[in-house]
Amino acid sequence: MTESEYQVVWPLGRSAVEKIEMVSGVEGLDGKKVAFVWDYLFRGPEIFGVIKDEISARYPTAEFIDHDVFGNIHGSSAEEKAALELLPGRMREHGAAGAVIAVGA
Amino acid sequence: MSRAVSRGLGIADVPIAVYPGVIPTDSEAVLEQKVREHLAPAVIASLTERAVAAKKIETAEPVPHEIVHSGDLESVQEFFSARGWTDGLPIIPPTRQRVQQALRFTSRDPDEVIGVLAPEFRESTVWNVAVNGVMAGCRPEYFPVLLAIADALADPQFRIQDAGSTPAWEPLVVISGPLVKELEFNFGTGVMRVGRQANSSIGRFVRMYFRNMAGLRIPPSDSDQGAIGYSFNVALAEDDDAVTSIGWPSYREDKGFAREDSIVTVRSVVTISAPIYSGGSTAAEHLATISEIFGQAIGPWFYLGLVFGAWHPLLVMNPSIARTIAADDADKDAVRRYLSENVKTAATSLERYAPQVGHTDFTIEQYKQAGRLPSVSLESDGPEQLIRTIPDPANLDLVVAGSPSRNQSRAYVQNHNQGVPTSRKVVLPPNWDELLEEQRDLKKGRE
Repeated sequence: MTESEYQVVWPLGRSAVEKIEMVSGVEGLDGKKVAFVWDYLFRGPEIFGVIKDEISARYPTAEFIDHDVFGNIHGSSAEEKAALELLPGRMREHGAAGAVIAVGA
Repeated sequence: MSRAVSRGLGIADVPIAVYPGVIPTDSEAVLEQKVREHLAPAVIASLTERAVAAKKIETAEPVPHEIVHSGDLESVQEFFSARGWTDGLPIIPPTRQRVQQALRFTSRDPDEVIGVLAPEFRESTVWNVAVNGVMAGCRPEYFPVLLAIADALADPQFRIQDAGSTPAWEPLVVISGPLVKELEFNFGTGVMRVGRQANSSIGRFVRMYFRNMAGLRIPPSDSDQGAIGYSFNVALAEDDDAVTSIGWPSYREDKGFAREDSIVTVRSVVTISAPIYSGGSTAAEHLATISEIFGQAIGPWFYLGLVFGAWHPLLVMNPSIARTIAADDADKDAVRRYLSENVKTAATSLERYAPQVGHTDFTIEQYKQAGRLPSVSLESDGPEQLIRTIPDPANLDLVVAGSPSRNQSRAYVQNHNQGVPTSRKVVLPPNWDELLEEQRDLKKGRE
């Protein structure tokens, strides 16, 4: 018995991804502001507190923008949408040089 | 998951600082030590030491309609499996001819983009719905149902991007209308079991579509982070005869469609109750038992309904129960009201559980003070207060299906704002009757 040969097509869809250019790191954090953005998960304030201590130990004049400035980026769909829409503007407004975004698992 | 989402967004190498362990299981002291010694240095390095690293994302992929492989059945299975394009079960080879057979069942352009599905951000098209339908073992005549499902999955309210979250919810398709019989869905004994082609292959198609269009794959990929999952749901079909004889509105009418329509609703299911056997000749007797076991199934998971502001449970009941309840002059809204008022769990249970899932700041009081707790929710102010876990009766779906000779119900718990029930009417081609007849003749000839 001869088995059939199948010519099969690609099952995926065309990628709609547009490449985002990454920026380089900040040159030292002294005198710079680091933002903390939280998804209200996984002990964020505890973790952020220790990270802030460690940043301050190395860069004594670093400043921080707390997560409550940005709202919850992982709440209800409406909450999430609003927080994400406002995020870039709030980063600029508060002069963030870098940001720690969310705690996941 | 962060890496998968970042890739999908076009960021080749997002800096991620990894906590060495599982955050909810570490003590305060251990957490502090790990953050100080491991996480904080990684965060600082990410902030300060990154070189510009705009790697070009490789786009050398096949194009839609392209033949990607030729070979016998085994080689097709191996080729697709090696690329992560299958669910681990054998597929029907998606040849152009088979895809075209499905496409005859729509007048839509094969290249129509239905949506772009995260986290992999791929274009869902009429063409690739057909390809994945063929692979899942769907008959060509199921294609209008598959298109309606794909339309629902592309709706932003469904949030397919969250289908790889750790609770590992599964999509469930509910089908209601004349197509249930025309396409020979099982809606009676053994409903929700694998075994009937329409229910099984359409359920499999949805999971296949999550994999191939949204890119949700288990390891060795990283986009599906389900901690402990379960297998795909076969499609749930409503027993229209039972609903009609009882005098209740059909599921599709509950959803705002016409009696003569056929619809699909896609929703998430994060857990299913134990079988709920209820007895008695009054609505109250049945509903008392149903509310008790429904409440056990929802349990403290309800806290997520408060966090995310969405909650849409589903109750599937055997015709005998619906009939008994209806005979006691209770309509569907009365069932919803009763269950909304009586399905409860201890508020303390939510507060104890939420931090263990990850919501470390959750308290009932916080939601109360913020005015985000539905006013009907809390039964008392005491320490043992009970919270109603179906606060809005309008968000409870009811489907009559399953064995006509038993008295069982099952509660299907939905995953808050992820997989919100999303419905679409199934649109048939103008020559549907003729095409369906043709398929039936083909089937008979092959039997």
